[in-house]
Amino acid sequence: MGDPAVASPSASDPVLTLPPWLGRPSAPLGPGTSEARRVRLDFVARTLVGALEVVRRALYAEEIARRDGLLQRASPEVKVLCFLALILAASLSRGLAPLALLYGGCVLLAALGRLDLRSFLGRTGLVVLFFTGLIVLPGMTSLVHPGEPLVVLVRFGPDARLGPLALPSELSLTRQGLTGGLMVMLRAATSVSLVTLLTVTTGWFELLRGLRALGLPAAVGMLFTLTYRYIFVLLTVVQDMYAAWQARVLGGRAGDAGRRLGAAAAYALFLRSEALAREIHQAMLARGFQGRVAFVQRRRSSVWASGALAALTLLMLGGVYVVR
Amino acid sequence: MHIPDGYLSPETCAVLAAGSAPALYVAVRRLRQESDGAILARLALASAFGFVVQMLNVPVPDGTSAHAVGAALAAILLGPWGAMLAMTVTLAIQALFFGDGGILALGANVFNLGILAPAVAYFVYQVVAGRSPSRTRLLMAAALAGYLSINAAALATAIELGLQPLLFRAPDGTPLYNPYPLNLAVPAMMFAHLVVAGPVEALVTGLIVGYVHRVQPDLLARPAEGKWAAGAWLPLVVVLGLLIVLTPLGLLAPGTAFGEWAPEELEGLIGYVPRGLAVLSGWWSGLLPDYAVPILEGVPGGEVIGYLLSALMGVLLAVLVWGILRWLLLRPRTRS
Amino acid sequence: MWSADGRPVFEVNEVRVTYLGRFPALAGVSLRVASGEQVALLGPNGCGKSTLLKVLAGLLFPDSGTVHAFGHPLTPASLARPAFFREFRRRVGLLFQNSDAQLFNPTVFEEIAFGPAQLGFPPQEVERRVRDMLRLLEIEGLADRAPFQLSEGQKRRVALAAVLAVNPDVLLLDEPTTGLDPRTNDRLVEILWGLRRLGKTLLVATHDLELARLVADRAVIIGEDHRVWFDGPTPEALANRDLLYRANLVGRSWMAHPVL
Repeated sequence: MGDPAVASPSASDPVLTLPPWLGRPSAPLGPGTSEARRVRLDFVARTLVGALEVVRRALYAEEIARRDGLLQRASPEVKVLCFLALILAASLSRGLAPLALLYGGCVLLAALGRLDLRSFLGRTGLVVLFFTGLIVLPGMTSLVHPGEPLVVLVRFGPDARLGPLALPSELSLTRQGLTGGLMVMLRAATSVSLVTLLTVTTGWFELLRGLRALGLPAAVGMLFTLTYRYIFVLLTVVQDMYAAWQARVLGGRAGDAGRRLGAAAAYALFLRSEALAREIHQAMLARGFQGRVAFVQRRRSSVWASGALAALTLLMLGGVYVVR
Repeated sequence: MHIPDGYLSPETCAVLAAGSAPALYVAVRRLRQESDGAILARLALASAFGFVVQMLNVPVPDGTSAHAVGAALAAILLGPWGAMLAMTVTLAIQALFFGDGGILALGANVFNLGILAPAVAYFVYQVVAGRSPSRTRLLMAAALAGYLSINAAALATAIELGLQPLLFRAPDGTPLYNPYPLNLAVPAMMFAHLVVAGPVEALVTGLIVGYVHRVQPDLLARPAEGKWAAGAWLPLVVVLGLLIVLTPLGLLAPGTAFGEWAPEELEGLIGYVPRGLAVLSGWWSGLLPDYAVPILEGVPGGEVIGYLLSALMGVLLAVLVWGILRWLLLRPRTRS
Repeated sequence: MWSADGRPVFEVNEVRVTYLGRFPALAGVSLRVASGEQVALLGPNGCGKSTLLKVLAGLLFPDSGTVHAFGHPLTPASLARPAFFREFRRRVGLLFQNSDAQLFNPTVFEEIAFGPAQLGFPPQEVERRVRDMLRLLEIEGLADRAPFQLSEGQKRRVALAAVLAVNPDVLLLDEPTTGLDPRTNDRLVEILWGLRRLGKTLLVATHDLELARLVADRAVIIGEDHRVWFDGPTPEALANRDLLYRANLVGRSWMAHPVL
């Protein structure tokens, strides 16, 4: 440290010398360098995009929970029970008709919750149907299960062979396979739709309150609350780290480097997490936390709305029973 | 590895949920006994951390992706019960808020990833690390725990999925849930996990445990000794016990009340599952033909009892083998 | 037992704290704070101010030395007794430096209600206090929002509201103005003045000399060697430019053009 008596900067002060290579100017930007080298650390980018998506979706959820719709006004306990009943009904259904009815009911509920139907159907309907469909598609063919052929895809001939394997005479899309596949798809879509509806119109904490009223132990409820909250803190840390890293990387190697970065990122995340845990615990103690949890009741739900939802649910279940 | 809704019958989900319940009950009771909020905060942070780590998707050459699960890490840092709670919370949040895993299937996912994986990880870690291990041995134990736990969960998942077309069909043969039988489900899942997800899990677990060991070694689970030795066994015993009961219960479930499956399908079923479980394979053909056929033939449900007995025998053998291994690894040596 | 009977609110004797057995945080600090005093704990980052506040709040315990609050020893054993724990926690409030660590309830309303609810206040009283705090900190519109999604200034306000809701006699503040926008800063200072008028004891850990000048009549300077370098009236501390510079509280450009 310099002599405090001579505090004002003057010509006689020793000047801090920076390393010489910092003084080297960059070469002018030529035509070839204007094309940025894409840093192909795909999976890290995907994770961070995913992280942002998580944050965005949660914020989105809060917004919908604040709208004034039938679902929002119903009590969380009733919502949980009704939606669970519907998901169970979908799971137990063994025909396409009841499943289609249930999915239609979901869409109706979405409208009643004042959701944007287009994005709702896109996210929970098309996306799920598409990806589930992709997974079960081979299962719909005679390759997996023999069955009544509907559409013949490939005809190999009666004695076809591929090396040591004996090929079937034809590869077809079977009726049973198609029905089965569609059932899986519809069930998945219905379940995702209902879960989305539940959480999006209820908000995380109201949902937790409902679950607690239905018997979830208080300690577990507190565990959920804290976890949900910490996820966002951790995500912010990850995003900050990624932003800082991105600013320093000038070229990239995909795949392996990406995986190592991922492991290093998990590593660094862990460090920050442990420190945070200690601070949070201290903060809770400082505010008088003694181990038991006291949730202060706030939201009032409409009995009318809850009743209407229950009635609608029973109607749908009845319809499923009739149509099965 | 999270199973969405629609792939598993509600009966399967119910059975697996019931199987998870005792372990979770014990875990929650232990949590309640902690009046100190520190454990709560730590568990919550572990759950959140597990959630974020699971978001790291590793692209697999065949186009799908696998991701690290963190069950082993949780087991090593929080103990088996804390790990079960943390994993369950993570899974529940993933299912409820991000559609990753179904709601009814939550029972199955919790069983595979929240109970089985941490139990296997904890057990492997304790057995391999032993008492006061060197740093290398510790890291190896952690990595191995990670690898085996995730593969155990994958195997369980594959079996659960693969059993669906065998057990749950409409009268006309339509598979009601997951259409891929065991001979497709098991290899497909196991390949991805033995080759990709497993090593990733091993690496992440090893790295983090390595760091913790350097900075705050007291965070790591202590070696099982004294009363804790029982604690190390208990999760495994619970889990194995449930596995024994699991499939026969699925057989007995209302879903099969269609009664339409032919006896040869059943034989195929019983032939399949033990074949998938290496331990039981050799013994099945050796013991059971003498055991089940004369005594239980003709008895309603005889096949089920026969299966139960064979499974029990296989498990007892597995436990015996593990016990011998453990004694071999843990007996006093001149140098650790 | 708790009345201001002339005994100091805090009595700290030769307290030593070391992190992980290797990193010293406090190297023999002694301090006495009387009821109604406003003290600024001044020092650069890492000098141990936060650690000292946590020791005073009974969240950290020293490796050696003693700590007494309201005449009672602060030890893990004494705080394990529920009655003392409750009484102590109600009387001493700590505003953390890291707002995120401090906010862990679903909504702002519940965050503020947490303290009173935990300490057993009746529901109507809890409701009333929350409303009053929302108004005081000018955050009524945020009552149903999730605290961790707010801006830094808003989080700080919520945190302060939450700490004040139990009406503590002593308020410990850890770097309260760091990262704050000017308006929130002003509001904070006004509130601290108001608390001073009500006779509260304030300890503010900060490196913000302006804040110290505004709210504290006594300054305690902790140096980078984790010891107390000065304990006396604030104007005297702030006039000693030499001391301020050595303690790493001001830099060379300030010395050239001092602002206080």
